[in-house]
Amino acid sequence: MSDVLVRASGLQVRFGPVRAVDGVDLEVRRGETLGLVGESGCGKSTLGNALLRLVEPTGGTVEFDGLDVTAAGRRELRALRRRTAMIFQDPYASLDPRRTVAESIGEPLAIHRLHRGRAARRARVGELMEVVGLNPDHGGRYPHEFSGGQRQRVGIARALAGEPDFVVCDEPIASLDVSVQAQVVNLLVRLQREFGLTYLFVSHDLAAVRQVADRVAVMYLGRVVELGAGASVSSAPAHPYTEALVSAVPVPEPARERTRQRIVLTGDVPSPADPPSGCRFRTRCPKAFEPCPDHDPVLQPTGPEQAAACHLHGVTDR
Amino acid sequence: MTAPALTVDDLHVTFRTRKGPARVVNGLSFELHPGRTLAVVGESGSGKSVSSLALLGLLPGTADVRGSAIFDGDELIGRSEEELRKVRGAGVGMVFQDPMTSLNPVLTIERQIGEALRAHEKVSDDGVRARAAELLTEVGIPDAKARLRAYPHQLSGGMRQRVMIAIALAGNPKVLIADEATTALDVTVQAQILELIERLQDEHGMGVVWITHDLGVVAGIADHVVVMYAGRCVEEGAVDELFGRPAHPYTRGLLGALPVVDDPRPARERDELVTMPGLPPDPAALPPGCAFYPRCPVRADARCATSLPPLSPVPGSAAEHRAATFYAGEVTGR
Repeated sequence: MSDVLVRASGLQVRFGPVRAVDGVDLEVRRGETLGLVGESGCGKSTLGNALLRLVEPTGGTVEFDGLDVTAAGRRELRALRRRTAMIFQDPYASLDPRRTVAESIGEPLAIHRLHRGRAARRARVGELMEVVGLNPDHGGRYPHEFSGGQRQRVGIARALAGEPDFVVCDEPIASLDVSVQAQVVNLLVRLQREFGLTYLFVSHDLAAVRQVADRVAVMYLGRVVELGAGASVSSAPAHPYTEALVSAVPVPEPARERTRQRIVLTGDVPSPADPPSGCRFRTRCPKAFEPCPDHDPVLQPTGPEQAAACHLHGVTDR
Repeated sequence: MTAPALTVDDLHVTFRTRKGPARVVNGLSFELHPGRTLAVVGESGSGKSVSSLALLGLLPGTADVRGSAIFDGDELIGRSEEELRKVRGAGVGMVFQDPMTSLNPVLTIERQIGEALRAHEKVSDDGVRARAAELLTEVGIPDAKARLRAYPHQLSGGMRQRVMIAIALAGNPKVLIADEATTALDVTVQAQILELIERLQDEHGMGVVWITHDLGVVAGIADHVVVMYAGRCVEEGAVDELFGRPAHPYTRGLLGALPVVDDPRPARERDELVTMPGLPPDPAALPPGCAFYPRCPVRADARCATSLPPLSPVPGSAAEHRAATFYAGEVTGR
């Protein structure tokens, strides 16, 4: 058994002229949490969706446990769907308001014909609710009767229903209050250990990603620009964009926060329909130098368990 | 010390609802001095935004506002709409979370800044154009003259928030209230806006009320911090005091709930984040004692359930560090 569960090679997703994901090579290892960080519009959610074929890639391949997902037929896809799941940002928008939460949690069981029979299904739904810290007696309630944090727990229970191997968590805590975020983060970590799950944790919040992710991939304008062990990426970033990102995340310690050197980037992110030539970050990069406009850098090793797509580590071209 | 720019005393806001009166702000007091930044911290429903809207008379008719807010020597609470309109903008500027919904999508940037300029003085069209371009340049928008003709959708989120700040600055306010002003922005853009506000504050000597849920931002910009829970200030103090020796169990819970970005330990070696069970109380059904009691990890005493702990000095701390808990002595130190 390979230790890679999901592998994307040269993955591309275009929406008309917009290159949302533009040539990504990425591996998610069995049992790990891979954090995927980046700012609005960098393509991180599209990449998460494309790995599950929830959006059609327009180029490249995705393999799941040896199976070519991009070429999979209906039957294979259905089997794949059971083994993968997604947790969304806004559980209020992703749950059907007219269904009880027990119905929503039980739906994947019906689709994949698991725990057949009413009694078995009800027992399984109760079990799932308990696992995520909800009272199983509340299964007959509707989403609006729950708080945001509880609704996110419903979304998690539903994601776990088919006993998936791989879960894409797409900004799972972004719309929650701080104290509730911590509850959900702890729950996700606990569930991973209990069920041996593999996570892709997509978030704009680098501090949250650091709390859960073994490795971190940083995206900018449709590309992965840095990849490495969580601790190295945030304490010794090898790409100037990662460096700016880390420096911009506020630290809740006044003495340190006041004296910390913030790297303030100038200008806006260029349009993904018309990315700059060469390195895509060069228009805002404080360290841009002469090869940057002409050479499009590839991810190259910069240390053990760390790689960056930046000419500072040697000029490369795609 | 100079006279405060804004003094809020015992502010109460109650909404009439079908479930009965919802007490959203329950006796909030603070002072803001010129050139200083006061951070008001709290989670959804803590009353932090409602209190600032109340100061400017921006709440709907279902809200009953009591207490006092003295701005520049004048009482704001109970003033007529016409009088308040003069205060808004000229005296107190406000920046909200979402610049897309606070800007008018069908008007150019020039019209919207012009509206703010004309509200306070008579200016010619040319004067408006020149001053608007000046303001845009001041908030760091390049090529300001061309941007004046733009509509909000043609600008990025960070640029739109800069426009909102330009509008807030149009009347040369003495106090700027920023309500989750960087929450909808990416962190690198947030860094730009924080730097901008700090620069403007230095140049104009404005007092800033920064309303946010983000303790990281607070650590960087605040002089004094007010932590709100269920409509009350549960703890306040100088920023270093409050972060260094949080006394209220809620403040401690909030700080413990935050992951730290540059903690060198790998994820698997980290401790779980501190969590607080349960949820804040319904403002229409506040408990008789301490509102935090049902979620409090300390609550050693029946007193907490029945009587409200007053905001009192934290033993062994500077005088302005105060907390509303019976157990400040037991829980100091982080």
